[in-house]
Order: sequence, then C-alpha cells, then structure tokens
Amino acid sequence: MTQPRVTDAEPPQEVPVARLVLFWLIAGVPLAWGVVQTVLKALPLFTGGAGPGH
Amino acid sequence: MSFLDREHSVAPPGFNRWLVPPAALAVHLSIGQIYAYSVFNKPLSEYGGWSLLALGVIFQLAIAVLGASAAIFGKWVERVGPRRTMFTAACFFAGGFLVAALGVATKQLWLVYLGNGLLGGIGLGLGYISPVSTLIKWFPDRPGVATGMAIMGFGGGALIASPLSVTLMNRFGGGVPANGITATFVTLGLIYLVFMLFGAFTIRVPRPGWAPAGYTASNANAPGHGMITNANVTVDTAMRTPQFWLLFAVLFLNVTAGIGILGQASVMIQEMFPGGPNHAAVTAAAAAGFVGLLSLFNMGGRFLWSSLSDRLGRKTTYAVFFALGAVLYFLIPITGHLGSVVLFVLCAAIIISMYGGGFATVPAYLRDLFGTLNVGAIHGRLLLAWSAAAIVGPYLVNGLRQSQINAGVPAADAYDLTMHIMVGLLVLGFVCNLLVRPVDPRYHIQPTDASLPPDSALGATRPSGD
Repeated sequence: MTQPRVTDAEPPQEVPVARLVLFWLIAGVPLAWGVVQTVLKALPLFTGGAGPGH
Repeated sequence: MSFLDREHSVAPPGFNRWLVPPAALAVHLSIGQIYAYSVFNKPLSEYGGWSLLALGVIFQLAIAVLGASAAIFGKWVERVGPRRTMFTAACFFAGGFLVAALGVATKQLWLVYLGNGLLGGIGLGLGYISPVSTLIKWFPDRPGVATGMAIMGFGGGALIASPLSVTLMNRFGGGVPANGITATFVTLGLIYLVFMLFGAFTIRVPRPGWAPAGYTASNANAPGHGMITNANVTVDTAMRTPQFWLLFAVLFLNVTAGIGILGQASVMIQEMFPGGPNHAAVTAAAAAGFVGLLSLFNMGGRFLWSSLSDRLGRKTTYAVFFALGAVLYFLIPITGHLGSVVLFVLCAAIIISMYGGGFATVPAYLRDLFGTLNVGAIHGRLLLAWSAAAIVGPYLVNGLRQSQINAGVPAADAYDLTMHIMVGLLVLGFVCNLLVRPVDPRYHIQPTDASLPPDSALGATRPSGD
C-alpha cells in the first residue's frame, strides 16, 4: 500500500514573522547562551592548558 | 484535558511548518539535561556521603528507562499524538526533579533514583521520540534536516544545563554547591516544566494528506532512492524484518564507539598527555574544556550529518560514520604517542560529531525503510540499542583500561587496546550497514489491514490546497 501522491500542494503562505521570530528566540536564546558558556570554558585547552609544543 | 487530544493539535490551513521545530527543540533541550547530570555527582557525594559509583547509577538508570519507555509507549505515542505525549513527558521529567529534591532534602538516595532515574527516564523516553516523528511528517522533503533539528537539541541540552546547574548550586548554596542541590533541583524542575509545556502547547500535526508546496511522494531523484519507500510498515511487522535488527546493530555499534570517548573524555586526555619533554601536561581546566568542546561537536554533528544525509542518502552517511570512525579510532593512540593534543582533540571531535550524527540520522533511515506511519513507535523500539550501548560502552572502556593498568601497562598507553577494539566494532557496523536492503513488499501495509489506526493518512486523497 503506497502513500498518497500529493500533487495539489499548499499554495505559498503568508509567514507569521513575529510568531516565527518569537518561537525561535524562545528555543534559541538559551541554546546560544549555553554555546557561549561552553566555548569560554574550552579556551584553556588552546591557551596554555596543554603547554608548548601541542 | 481534551485540549491535549490529537484532533485539537491538527494544524489549521496555511499553518507555517517552521513554527514546529522550536517546539521540538524546547523539549529536547530540556531532556538533554541528562547529559550534564555528572555536574551533580561531586556535590551530591559531599552532601549525602554517597559514593560516586552509587551516583553514577542515576544516569545509567535514566538512559535505560529512556530506551525501555520509548519502546513500551511508542504505540501509545502514535495513537494520542505529540501534544499529550509531550505534556506527559513534561510532567514526568519535571516531577522527577521534584521527587529527587525531596530525596536530597531527606538524604534518601532511593528517592533520587526514583525521581531522576525512573520518573525522569520515562519523561526522557516520551519526550525524545514524540517531536521526532512529528517533524518527519512535517518535513517529508527533508527528513534529515527535520530529525537533525530536533535531536540537535538533545545534544545541546547539556550546554545549557551544565553552566545553569553550577550557577544555581553556587547561588542557593552560598558558594557551597552541596548546600544548594535541593533548591537547584526544584528550580530546574519548574524551569523545564515551563519550557517543555511551551513545546507541548505549540506543537502541531499536519492534516492527513498534507504535503509541502511543490512536494510529491515520488523519490526517483532522491539520493539513495532505492532505499526509500512510499509504503508503510507497522511497528510490530517492522520488528520481524532483518532491516530493523541490522539498524539495531548499526545504532548499537555506533553509540558504543562514541561512548568509548564521551564517557571517559576528561580522564582520557589527562592520562594520554601526562606531560613530557616536548609538551606540558593537560590541566584539569583544559580537560573540562575538552569535554565542553565534545558537547559542541556532539550537538553540531547531529544537525550537520543528518542534514547531509538528505543529499548523500542514509546508507552512505552511515558508511562514512563507520569507515572514517575506524580510521580516526586507529589514529587516536598514535596522537598520544606523538604527544599531539591538537590532533587528538580533532580526531575525538570528529568521532563525537558522528556519534551525534548517528542518533539524528537513524529516524530518517527508519522513515526511508518503513514509511512515516509508525516511525515514532519503530524509533522507540530501536532506542533499546542505545540503552544497551550505554551499559556496554562504558563497561568496555573502563574494564579494558583497568585490565591494561593491572597488567602493568602505563596509563598513557592503556587506551591503545580499547581503541583498537573500537575499530573492530566499527568495521562490524560497516558490514551491518552494508547488508541493509529495502524492505520486502510483503511486509507493507495492505489496504484491508485491520491494524491501521482510524486517523491514518493511508488512502487519503484529499488535496492539501485547502
């Protein structure tokens, strides 16, 4: 049994920009904060944490 | 609570599908906290006098319950839809933190096991599979991107949870983390409840027969098109196919190999680079940075490799994971002998990116082979491979390392054998992946199949231009 082959797809929609931005900010801001914190924590690995010749 | 029913979460006409990934991300970023649970081990040990071994059980229990609950409740998840599932996941996951807080306050370790391990694990399992199968249905044209977006969140959860937990423990404990655990658990429980409920209340499922603009179910031009089916296989039938068990082995071997590094990253880099005439020892701070870096690659790999699989095809992507992974694992001991920290970090980072990529690509692989109808439930069953790997992987690495040290091998060289065994596992995975073929049509759902759910999209021919 095959799935229906849709040929009459949805027309282009008007994007609710404000809601899109808000939703992505809610999910993205905490993640961005975590990434920044992690990068800062990783700096010693490349700034002398392993000494010369590494 | 009818608001939680599937019919109330069906997207209205004109709904923009890009509103769905943030809902999935909110849930996965929350439950991904489990990867950062080790930040509590030392404070918990100091506060309750519990051994690190006893505390390590919490993480293993949570992952084991994740796999078990995803397998057990997969059919239920497909039946009731993502909103009720994500709401339930939020209650279990956040409630688990509150129960664990009570356990810490009363110094009852079994309550922490119950809260973060058992209840939290159920929340993990439900929260993990539900957004993934929903996104696959929203993005039939880009299933790899869809699953990558969601599962990237699970890898990224630790990036948020780790610094957040440390900050909260220090604040509530007046600078002594051990004194702030109870309040931290309560706070985290409430934060994650709100964040996961945002996901539950904003998630939508597409109408039956819906498709994105310009998309047809034809896959003639898709990469790996011979592997992609437009038919469907039920979850119970899927488990009778060789493809399911080959993918079970593929996931198990890929995860076991990744855990080989992830679980021991901090100790491994410090033991392999103890310092020498040409290089200084890796400090504890640098090792902590290395662990953070791996988390970043774990997260990034989930999105990048999964998205790439839409172009390469799923089978080719896994072939790259296993072939490249085997080469890199072989190189890791050499980087130690050369004393090259940079090369070691580079090899480990790429390996971990493929570990994450394996998690994110497998739902799309399942969708290609078994169709979209029961992909969530099938994915749930397959996650038992993860539970098994979470037990076998660390045991393999820790056990082999210890046996090498007991045999008199220096700590810096104790990982050589382990890494070579990982190469063997990856070669085995390469073979398993090579054996995957399209599912025999006799397993496909027939039009008269009584097991079809009432709201199945099968046979729906309604145009989606409404």
